[in-house]
Amino acid sequence: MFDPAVLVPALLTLGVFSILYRENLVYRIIEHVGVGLAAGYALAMIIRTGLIPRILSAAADPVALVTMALAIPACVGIAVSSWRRNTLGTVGISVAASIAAGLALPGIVENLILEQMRATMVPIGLSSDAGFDSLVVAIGVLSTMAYFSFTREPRGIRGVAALTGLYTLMISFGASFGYAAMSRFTLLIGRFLFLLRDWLHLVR
Amino acid sequence: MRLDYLALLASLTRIDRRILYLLVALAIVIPLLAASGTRVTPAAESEGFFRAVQRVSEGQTVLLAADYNGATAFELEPMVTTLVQEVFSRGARLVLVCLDPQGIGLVEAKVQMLADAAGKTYGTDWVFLGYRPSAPGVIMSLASAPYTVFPRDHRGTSLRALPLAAGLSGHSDYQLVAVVASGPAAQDWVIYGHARYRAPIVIGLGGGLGPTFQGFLDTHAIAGLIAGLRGAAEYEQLTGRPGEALRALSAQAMAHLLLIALIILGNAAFFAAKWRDRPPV
Repeated sequence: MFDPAVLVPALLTLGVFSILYRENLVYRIIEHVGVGLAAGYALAMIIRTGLIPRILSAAADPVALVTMALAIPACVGIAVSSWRRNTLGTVGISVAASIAAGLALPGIVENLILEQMRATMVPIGLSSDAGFDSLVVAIGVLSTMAYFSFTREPRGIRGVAALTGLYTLMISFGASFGYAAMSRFTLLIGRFLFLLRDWLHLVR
Repeated sequence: MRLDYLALLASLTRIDRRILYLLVALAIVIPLLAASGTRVTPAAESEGFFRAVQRVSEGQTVLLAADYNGATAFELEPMVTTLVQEVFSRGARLVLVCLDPQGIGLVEAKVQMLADAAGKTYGTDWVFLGYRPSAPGVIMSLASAPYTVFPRDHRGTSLRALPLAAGLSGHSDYQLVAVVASGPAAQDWVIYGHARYRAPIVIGLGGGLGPTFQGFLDTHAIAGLIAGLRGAAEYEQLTGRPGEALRALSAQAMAHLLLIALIILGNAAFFAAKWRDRPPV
């Protein structure tokens, strides 16, 4: 209970919970310390695992230092980090963004568009569970598309389809929100379990 | 004296929020103190995850991307624990990466503990490659030229000096790619990894992202999915390794029941107040 490795996190957890009673200085201090520690740790890790190995490998291979392998990316990196806008930095960002978009495009088109469309276009029916699922998916997709069709005022059958689309969206958002609530409760349970088990030893 | 139920119900709209927080705390603490066991019925996607891991056999290699940090550790660590225990118990080897810079220490400590418990040796049975910036670049490079992006492991040892990593060549090294991620980084593994790795991909996610990835099951881009504490509990049950997720699920269920009750009561109170304050006809 008095082990600093457990006592300090336990007291910090209680300090964070204190915001539930009312706004207070302890919570604000812990919040800032937490955010600062997380950002500082991440930065240290990025420098240690990303930047330093690059510098060390350059030191081990001086040829690379003055050739394209490192010299050009380093110059572009410095230009991009510069406070003042400059051509090299702008070109560097453009090239990096273009490469990223080019590499991402095939995967996005295949996995997020074509494959999803293919998975939607399956036989529908009421005779089997899979067929009924497909029917629900087809109705959901078509009605949601109808909801986002703004060329004409949604009246009659178009209005019914748009309303169905709206409810489909609401059910979808509701499912996502339900999962998000579950996720937050899980993290809260984790904190309570830490307090009850690791700190107070009330549960095994 | 006749009790005014409408006024009583309407008064709930003015309830102090701290009472609600206290109720939530009690709903979580009591099941944890009671330590009641829970059983769940595994979903099809959890069974897919389970079957994909079961297909890994002795001597084969699993690539595990554990991309989470302290903020989401409680939700995702049970998945990593059960998965790593399964991989080691099957005699398979593990190549571990972490694409979240805030999670490096957590992930390494957890897998080191599990490896020690299973009697596995670092470098021979498992290796931790560590972190590199830019998830898409790492995912693609690991599939084509692992030594370019990870010339050394997280501990600074040359990858070629480690028996497990010495033979790595890229996409065909792995029999399974497992991703446990708290953020949308998991989607990068589908977008950039699906076509590049010849192994099935299974994903463990924070609960909030679960519905987003259901579509990838229909397209067979992933072989299995476990989302949130519920998914972790289902996987624990399927493997017969009850752990933290199954233990915490009763508290989760109680909190959900309370939430549903509060939503119903809140709506009832809202309409009661509206009815009471309606203008006279």
